[in-house]
Amino acid sequence: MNQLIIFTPLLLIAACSPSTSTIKWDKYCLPKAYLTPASLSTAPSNDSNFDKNTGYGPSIFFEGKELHKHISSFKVTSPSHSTGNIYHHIQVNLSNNKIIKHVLNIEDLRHSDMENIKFEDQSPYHWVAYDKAGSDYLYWGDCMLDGHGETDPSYRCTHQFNIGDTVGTYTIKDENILLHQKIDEFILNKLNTWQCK
Amino acid sequence: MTSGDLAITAQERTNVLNGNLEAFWRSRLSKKDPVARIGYALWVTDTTKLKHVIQSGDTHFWNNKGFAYWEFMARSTVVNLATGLERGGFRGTFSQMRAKIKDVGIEVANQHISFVTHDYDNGNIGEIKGLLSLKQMADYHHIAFKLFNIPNHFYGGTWLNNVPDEAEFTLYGELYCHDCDSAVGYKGANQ
Repeated sequence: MNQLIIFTPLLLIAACSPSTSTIKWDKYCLPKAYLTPASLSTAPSNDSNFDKNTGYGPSIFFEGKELHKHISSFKVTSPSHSTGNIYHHIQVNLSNNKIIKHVLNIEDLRHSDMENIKFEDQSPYHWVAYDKAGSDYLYWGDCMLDGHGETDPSYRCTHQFNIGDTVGTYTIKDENILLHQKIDEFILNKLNTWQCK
Repeated sequence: MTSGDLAITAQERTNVLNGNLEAFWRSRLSKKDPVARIGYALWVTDTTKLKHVIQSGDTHFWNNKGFAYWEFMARSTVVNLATGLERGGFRGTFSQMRAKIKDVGIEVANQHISFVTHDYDNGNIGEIKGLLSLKQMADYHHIAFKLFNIPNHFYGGTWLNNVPDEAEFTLYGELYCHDCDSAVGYKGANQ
């Protein structure tokens, strides 16, 4: 009888936890442990100087270490400009809204260090990236210099990719940018495991 | 609410590339980018400039808070950021810590540029192109601070009222107003 008293609450807790540990978005039941604090917040705001949040979906945070387990060449750290290291992670925002851009002048496209990805400069400091698919150029993302000084070639890109009818967007620094396809696959595979049953 | 086009300019990009965060946030402030309120307060080199821009500005834009409030927020942010860096394992001299805090500031500015550009180009996030929501701001602070291994509860982005409530602290942590719940240093509105 005493064992029944102890085990029954535990059974009730175990039965409740799956539904309280995820948040449903589109067809996905996203584990709260992977969501950014902003994605979990329902706190209202009284500061009308900021925009409304319509159209901005939840964001999923993947630790660099987890990415490294699946993509062995993913750099988890790299030297900081000052002292110590910086830590690379991937934070993906999900949205039903997609950015669509078109190449302005094909002759202005330049090669990138990524296969099939071409860059079209918008200024000396930022450029749009397109994925060459057959004779088409599909919007891949926006890139910008992010180093120390205008001649530092370090850069980052905010990359948009399709997830079925939705899109994911994440920023990636040049240290790991050659892995973008593997990162896309990792995220897609992860989301597949999170489809609501 | 905002003044004109919120698109990131080439000048703003060079400001950040050259480490001139005061100029970057001053430019964003002139467009009434609300994130620039704390950004400028943090990086302005002469606080009389901050006082002037607040006292001559739109009181609604400054959340009906005066110079004392924003200057206090900036000072406590720097202290909390140093604490967050140490909690994340950073060890260094005083000048190394200052350099590291500057690195964090540059990363936050770069994230702001990325998010504003994305918001501007998307056209379907929120109501105004280039104006971020609080969740967008919180999200970019999250990834920026993770770059430096700063623990979650130290990241920033706040919509503080007079005194932040439990929900605000839960979301935005201790970064921007570590001692706000005690009202120490807060002298009331319009000061």
